[in-house]
Amino acid sequence: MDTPARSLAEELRGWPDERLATLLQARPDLAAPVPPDLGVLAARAGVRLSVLRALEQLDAFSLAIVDALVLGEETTSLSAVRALVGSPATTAQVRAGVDGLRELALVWGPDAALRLVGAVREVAGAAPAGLGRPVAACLSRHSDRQLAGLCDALGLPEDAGLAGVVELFGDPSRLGAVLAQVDDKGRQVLDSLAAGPPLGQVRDALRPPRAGDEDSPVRRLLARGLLVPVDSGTVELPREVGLALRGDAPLGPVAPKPPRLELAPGGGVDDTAALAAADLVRRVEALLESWSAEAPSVLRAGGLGVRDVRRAAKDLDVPEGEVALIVEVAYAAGLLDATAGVDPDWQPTPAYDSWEALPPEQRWTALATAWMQLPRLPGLAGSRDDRDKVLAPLGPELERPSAPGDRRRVLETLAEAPPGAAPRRASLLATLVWRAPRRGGRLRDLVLGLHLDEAEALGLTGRGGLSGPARALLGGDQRAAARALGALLPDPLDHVLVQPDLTVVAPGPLERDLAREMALVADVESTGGATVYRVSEGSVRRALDAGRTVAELQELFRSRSRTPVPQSLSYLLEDVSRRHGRLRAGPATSYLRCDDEALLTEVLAHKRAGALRLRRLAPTVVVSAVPVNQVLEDLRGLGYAPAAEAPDGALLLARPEARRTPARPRSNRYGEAGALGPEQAALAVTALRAGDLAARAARRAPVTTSSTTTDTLAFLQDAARERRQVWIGYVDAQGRSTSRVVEPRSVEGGYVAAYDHLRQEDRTFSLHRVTGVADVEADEPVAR
Amino acid sequence: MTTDGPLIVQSDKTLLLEVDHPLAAECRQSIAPFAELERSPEHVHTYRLTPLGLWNARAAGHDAEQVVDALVRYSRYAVPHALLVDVADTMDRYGRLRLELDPVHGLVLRTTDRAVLEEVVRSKKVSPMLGARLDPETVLAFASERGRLKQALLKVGWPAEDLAGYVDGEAHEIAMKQDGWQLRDYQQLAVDGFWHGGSGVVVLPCGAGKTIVGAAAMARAGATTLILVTNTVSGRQWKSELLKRTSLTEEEIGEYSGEKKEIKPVTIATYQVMTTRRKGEYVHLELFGARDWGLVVYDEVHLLPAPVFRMTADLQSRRRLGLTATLVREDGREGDVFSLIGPKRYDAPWKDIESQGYIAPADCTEVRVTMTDAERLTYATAEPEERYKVGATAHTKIAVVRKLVETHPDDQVLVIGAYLDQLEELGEALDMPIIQGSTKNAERQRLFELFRTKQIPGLVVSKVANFSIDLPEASVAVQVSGTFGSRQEEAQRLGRVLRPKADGRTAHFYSVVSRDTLDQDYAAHRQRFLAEQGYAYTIVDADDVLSG
Repeated sequence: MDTPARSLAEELRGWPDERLATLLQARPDLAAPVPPDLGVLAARAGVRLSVLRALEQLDAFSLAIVDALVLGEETTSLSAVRALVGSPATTAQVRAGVDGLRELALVWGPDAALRLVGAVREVAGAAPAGLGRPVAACLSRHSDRQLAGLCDALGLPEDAGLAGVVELFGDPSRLGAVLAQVDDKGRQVLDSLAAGPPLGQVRDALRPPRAGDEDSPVRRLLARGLLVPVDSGTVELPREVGLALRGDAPLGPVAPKPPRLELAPGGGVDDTAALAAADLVRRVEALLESWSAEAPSVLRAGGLGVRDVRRAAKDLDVPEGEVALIVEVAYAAGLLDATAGVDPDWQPTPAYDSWEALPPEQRWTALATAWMQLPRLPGLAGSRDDRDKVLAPLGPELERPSAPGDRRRVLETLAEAPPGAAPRRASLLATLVWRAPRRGGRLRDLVLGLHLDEAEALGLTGRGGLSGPARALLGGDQRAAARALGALLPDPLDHVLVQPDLTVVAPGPLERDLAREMALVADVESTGGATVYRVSEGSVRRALDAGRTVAELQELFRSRSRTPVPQSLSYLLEDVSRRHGRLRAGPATSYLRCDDEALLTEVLAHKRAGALRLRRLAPTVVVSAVPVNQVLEDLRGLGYAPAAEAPDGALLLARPEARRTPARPRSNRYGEAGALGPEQAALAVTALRAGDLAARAARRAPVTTSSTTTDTLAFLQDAARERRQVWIGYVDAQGRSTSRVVEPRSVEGGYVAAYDHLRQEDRTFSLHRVTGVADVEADEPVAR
Repeated sequence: MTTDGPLIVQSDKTLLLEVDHPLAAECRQSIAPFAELERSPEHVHTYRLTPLGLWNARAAGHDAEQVVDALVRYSRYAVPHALLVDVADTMDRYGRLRLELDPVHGLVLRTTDRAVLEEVVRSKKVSPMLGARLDPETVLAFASERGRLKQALLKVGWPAEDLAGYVDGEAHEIAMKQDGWQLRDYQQLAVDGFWHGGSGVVVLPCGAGKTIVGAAAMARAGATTLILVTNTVSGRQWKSELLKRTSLTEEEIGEYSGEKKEIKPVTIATYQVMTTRRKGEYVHLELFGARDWGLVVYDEVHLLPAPVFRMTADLQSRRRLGLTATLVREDGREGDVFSLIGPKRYDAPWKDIESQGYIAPADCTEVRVTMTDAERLTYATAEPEERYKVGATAHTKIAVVRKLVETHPDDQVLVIGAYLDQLEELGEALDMPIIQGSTKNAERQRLFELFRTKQIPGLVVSKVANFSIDLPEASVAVQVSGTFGSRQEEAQRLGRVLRPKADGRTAHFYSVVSRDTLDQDYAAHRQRFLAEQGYAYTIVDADDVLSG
């Protein structure tokens, strides 16, 4: 580029396509939707919201460079920026930083004339790099009398006025002389304000100087304008003074590189993570099994109620915060959903059944992947919002579209530590904060902490270090992650240890079938690396209700217990089975009883009694599936004289069903302003170029009013022969006029067939509707 | 990734120890100082980590690193990191506050951590017992509140180490009389541990000789001693042991009970008498001030009644020794034991004692009797309060008991029951004399003597006789109905009845239970407890017994 660009749009125009594509990928909000031309693109790049988004991506050093640019003039130079950054960084680093800002279209222009784009200046904040306003701005509201007082204190002639003060402050040597006169206490005050922020509290700052002020260091500073009152309680350190005090690091401490990750000593990363992973899988299963039997209801506003959370916490023996995480991850993985209709419940989905059949390592990868993509913050559940309402898990208030991106960043930073090593949390947070200080707002540190805690609870990290399986997941390879985890988990056992006190100890994870049988016939008492079950009358009854026979249960223990089966257990099984089923319960709509057995037998045997569907329960009792009125009626019809009885209570036992709800379709539009893939970016650039071309041409198009059709025809024929792009103005059937750049291919029969580059299609134009034609300017690059 | 260790650390702070593992013994020794044994059936013993257990370990000189090291070294799977952090934090809390005797100011509470002292001084529960602040790390404490202060500090989670020393009390010479017998190794260690700590609890399983440990502690103190026991029978046992094992004479040992009120250099009082109230006042509180006691011994500390705790709060300047088989209490007042009597100073190694034959595992059998239809009807229609009695005193049991006694012709048999009419029925059916509450002492002694010398083959006894120290050793016990006492009482009763026999024969314990009644439910509870203690248990049908 020989001549410098005169605007951002011009500069962008001069960029190669790949560079534009990179810009669009870096700031995807600029391409949603694709701007019609580069001018619009340039305008969008300077819009406040877009600039805010762009700044969020910047690391601490780049933000310092932005501060330096803000501190400079409208047009500043690279060397000025470099001077402001000062000693903490090398020139090369400063240049690299500025170039980075150029790539993001936040800054444009040559090195000698850098300009900030649009809203950056206002968005960067009122106190760039913790410096106050220039003294000119600080003193703008001062009255002449106040200024006169200032000039007097500074040794200036009385009528020097604001200009004189500004001039003094603008001269480093004169300002230095004033500063040299400040005593130690005053210097302390100045230094602390110079470190930032530049505002301090002083009582009654606005009152004019009076006798006795010389004793107070702050009053002395105020008198000399080294501190300027902002309002009755606040003073500000003017920018020039701050810069003077900071010496050769005008921007304050600047870190051109991220802080190094400090590693904590000790190992056990993978083992601890594997343990947490196994626990997670176990807990998800336990929770969904219990919800399968008894589903909690959905709150009216959506989410899971506090009581249900507490109950789950008690059942799973975990803190309530972890219940929220388990529930959210299960939801994200599609394992549970709300039923449809009035009074919805939270129930497992059919996907849960297929998930449950997988081996534990694959179950974990499904959950971990779901968490990584979850656009919600489970960690906020349980806290209160501004209206003091508790945030419920699975509720709408936990949505955070930025969460998956944040998590990825956290995990990628963790991955920078060598495998098996754990960075110290403080160091890790410092690095993450350096990488994107503006991301996350007020809650930034809290949210980062939440992500780290969740990663630890889920088994992606162990003792703070990224585990092997998690590294594989980060790389996108679910299979490798499952394999890695499988190697870390202990092999499932095929045996248990039965104890004489009717407890059964499984000294490790059990094979799936065995685990299921044990959970059926015994109650879980303690979980962890091992599981302790207790066999009780109730649990044996449950197994018998589920259809197991005593022989099967005896065989189960005999074959699977490494220790001899205690006699007390065999005896218990026999005892319970003896009593099981002695009482029978069944449904009956009505009953019929009679002391005379023979009469009852007669009724049962009657030919036409079939409709009543009678069944004999005991010699004197018969039940029917038919309502009592009908029974009475029919019997009377048969010639008998039955009498009705008052109703009694009857208990019906039902077997609990495993409930399922079909998963409802979810929208896939997760994530921030959808990330742009490389091909999409390239296409967008192409469209941009073409649009730009059209726009520019449109601006220069002549307004032809008297061109005849013949002229137009000749012109177009020429263009078709030479394969030249032309501009045509056209009125369509609805009367709308448009203008476009096309390449005519042929002209015949009153129609022009041409190729429209912008829309990438062949079009036919009716000649009499063309309002004007013109050449596209020769020196315009033609988009292909 | 499994290291194949013998210990599994569960997330609920229980530790499972696989007994058959080659490293099990070593591991047990490692974890015993800080983990409480909760149950020990045959194959997997369950221990638990509790704050008190950890603080007891700290008081004994162990630190968090040792505990964490032990857990990690023997654990089969990765130990949850949160648990290790919790253990370290809990142990760390002990000793941040110390009660000391300042030469100028008297009793003071001192700290190594100012923040903790601030928290404690501000606490509403603790501040009334503290006086002026002497400096940032020291605050004056009221000497009279020494005990209550320790209780309160424990409750707020900052247990204090009591280094404020003891008064010696009135001297009184007591010496051990080791003629023909000797203090066992662990008993000596127990006394040493106690003396070194100044005050505290010694844990000894049933039958390990706690009376002797008490006596040895008294000899060490060489001062007047007040011994608090659970009941008069137990008190008499103490007296007879002291007479046998030490230089003390009849005139030096006094009994302070419902019947007698003697205050001598060594006085044995019962908890019952101490908790007697008349018009809302504790009548016998003056006993504590009656002499300048140099040592106070609390027998069966796990059964200490709540009022005695309060009384103990005022005895803090005297040495206190607690003796018990277990620190676990049914009412959860282990904290009071820790703060008012003292931390655990010694825990006898169960295995050594067992292997030296001091405790004998017995053969426990439950015989299930099916009631007749008439009896079942009576049971079903009985009032709820009466149900247990109806089930337990079913007449059908008598025949079974008779048969059981017949199968042990050469053994001395005790038949134990709770209801007098049943006992009478049994006495008649078995042709055995009955000992119950109304039996005079002289008569009891006579019958015991006959039993001891094998002139009568058996005795039918009510629960009153359960605690009799003179109860002669039996090799067979048949229980037909019981009291629903605490599990510790259960084990003690068993242990007493089933002392190891001179000729090494196996002891048998039968429990005759009516099927499908409350009797069976309580029996299940008992069965579980005994199995947890390691007693093998079988269940047999009465018909099988009767058919031979």
